This record gives sequence, C-alpha cells and structure tokens, in this order.
Amino acid sequence: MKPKTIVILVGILVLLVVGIQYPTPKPEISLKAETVGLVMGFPVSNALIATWITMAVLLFIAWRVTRRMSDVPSGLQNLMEFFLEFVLNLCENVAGKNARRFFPMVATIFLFVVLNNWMGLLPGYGTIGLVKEPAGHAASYVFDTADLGALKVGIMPPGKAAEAAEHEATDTHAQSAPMEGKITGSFVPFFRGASTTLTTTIALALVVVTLIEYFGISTLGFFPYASRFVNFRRLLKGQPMGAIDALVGVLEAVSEGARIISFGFRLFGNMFAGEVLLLIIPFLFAWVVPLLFYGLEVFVGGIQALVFSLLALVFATMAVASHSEAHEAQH
Amino acid sequence: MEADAIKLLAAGLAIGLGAIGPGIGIGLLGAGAMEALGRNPEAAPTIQSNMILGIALAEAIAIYALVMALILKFV
Repeated sequence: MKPKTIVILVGILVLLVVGIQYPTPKPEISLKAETVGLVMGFPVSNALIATWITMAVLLFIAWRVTRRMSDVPSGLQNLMEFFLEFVLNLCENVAGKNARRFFPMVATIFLFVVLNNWMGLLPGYGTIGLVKEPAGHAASYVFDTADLGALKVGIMPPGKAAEAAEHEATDTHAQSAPMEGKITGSFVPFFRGASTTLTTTIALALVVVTLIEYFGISTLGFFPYASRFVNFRRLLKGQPMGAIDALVGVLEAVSEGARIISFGFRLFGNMFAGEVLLLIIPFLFAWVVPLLFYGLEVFVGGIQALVFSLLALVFATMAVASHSEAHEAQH
Repeated sequence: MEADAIKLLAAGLAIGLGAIGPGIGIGLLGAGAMEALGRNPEAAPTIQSNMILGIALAEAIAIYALVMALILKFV
C-alpha cells in the first residue's frame, strides 16, 4: 500500500480510539418540538423557527435566481433549473397532459421538504439553544458558564462531565447549591429539523390531500367525483350486487383519509428516526462514525422529499382520471 | 412486571416484528426489479423510478412500527 494510504488509515484509527474517550452526553430526545418562546401569546417551537428559516432561504433563492435571468444559465440559476427540469420530467412521465397543472404543487412540496430535511443537518440545528430550568424530571446536563456582560453563556463540556448526577433529582431546590461556575438544566435547541415533528408533516399531508380533492373536483365536477365514494346507484336500482359498489366506495373514502396518516407518518418517521440516530451515534462513537450516518441522512432526506412529491403527483393523476375511462379500459 | 420494563420490551418487539414484513416486501420488489432490468435493460429509468415508489410505500409500514416504538420509549 502507498504510504499515504497507510497514514490516512492510521489517522482514522487514532480518531476512532480517541473519540471513544470523548463521547457526547446522553441525548435528551423529545417527540414533541420544544417551545422556545412566545410570539404574541402563541408558543413558538424550534421546528417552527426552522420552517421560517427554510421559507426565507427559498424566497431568497427565488428572488436571486429570477433577478436577471440569462438564456444560458450558470451558477445558482443552473442549479435551480436542474431541479425544476427534474421535477417537470417526473410530472410529464406520470401525469402526461396534466403535468403543467400539477407541477406547482409537486415542485413546491419537493423543494420545501428537501430543504427542510437537509437544513436540519447543518451545524447549529440542535446544538445552539437555551438552558431551561428542568420542569418535573431531573436535569439532564451540566454546563460550564461564561459571563459575557448581559449574556450568560453555558458551554457543554465534552464527555461524561456534561451528564448531571442522578441524585440531584431527589434534592429539594433549596438544598442543591449550584457548583462554582456551572449550571444544570435541560437543553432546548433554537432550531430543529422542521420535518422531525408531526405538526409540520401532518400539515403538509392535509394540504396535499386537500389539493388532490380540489384537482379531482375541478376536473370532473363535484357529483362525478363524489360518485367514486358514494356509489349507491346500482343498489338503488334494486341490484343486490350494488352493495359491493357501496362498500368499495366506503373503502375508497377511508383510504383517502388514511393517505393523510400515511403521508404524515412516513416523512415524520423517517426524519425523526434519523434525528434520533444522529443524536445516539455520537453518544456511542464520537468521531468518524457519525460521518457515515450523516451521509445516510442526506440520502434519506432527499429520497423522502422525492417520494412525498411523487406520491402526491400519482394520487392527483389518479384523482383526475375519470372513473368511466378507467372502467372502459378494464372491460 | 413493572410498567417500565414492559414498555421497553414492547418498544423492542414493535420495531423488531414490524420490520419483518416490509423487509420481505422490499426484497421481493428489488428481486422483481432486477429481473425486469435483466430482461429489458433499456427500460431502466422506468423500472427504477417505479421501484423507488414501491419501496417507499412498503417502507412506510416499517416506519409506522418505528413510530410506535419511539412513542413507547419516549412518551
């Protein structure tokens, strides 16, 4: 082997071994996005702040790219044209003649979700935040404090020093005197990947399902579209086999509702599990190994955005395909 | 057994058993796609995109199981 290869391998081994000495402290994982503060009386969570940041970034990119558009694109315009052409090809492959109609929905969902997922991996998301008084359960972390005038900054020391001792939970407030230059508390990050909370993903799912119903109704008309779900025609004519039609209609309606759950939980499950993974792996091996999982998270974030928008496109195409066409194709 | 012990056991069982079905399903999808690619390499983009769609739908079931396990563990 070349000496350069040997040096690199030895370096990685050294990093691995040293990293075991300095793991991150045991992570504090909460299913719910933690509240950071109040804005005009409404609680604002860290995932909401991340959503705002994603929106700002998207709007900035949109403004910047369309400012002085050139026929031969370069730089950021080229990158955005690549993404949009990719989504347009997808739409044309799946929806055919309805591609331009569904394109805004699909492209928005894709860009928004992929940016949400990828920005959740940036440094700062989940690492910068507030130290709050623990409410109820024991404090999780011990911070070294630094005073910068009006601002008190807590810095988490590496390794085991950051874990709060178990017995502090049983001490009463008056008895547990704070150590010199250290505070204990639980950590609330300012930013958290926006798709890691069920709120964002179910909201997106509701919007998408509503849009799909709107596309169906506006293309086919209200009663033809509703006849897919409420199909009592054969039953009312006296044919007992019409009961099957009615049952199938009810099943279709239930499956439309189940789509909300499926959309929301697919994205939430993937992203939240990814975040838990990224919190726990550095707790086990601090250095080198988390890189592999970051790569996995980048991949999964992109795939989940693609799948969300692709499924929205497919369901929209199915919704506007008129019932009689599908029937005639079958017989 | 105490409630906490059962919760931990339930979380492990939830994701463990819940991943069997989707695992088999995704394997079958991959096998079908590989065979189709072998028969018709020119249709690769179509096969690939449909396979990704199918895998994402099958994986969603595993994700439901994972979410149940996470709820059991952290709530």
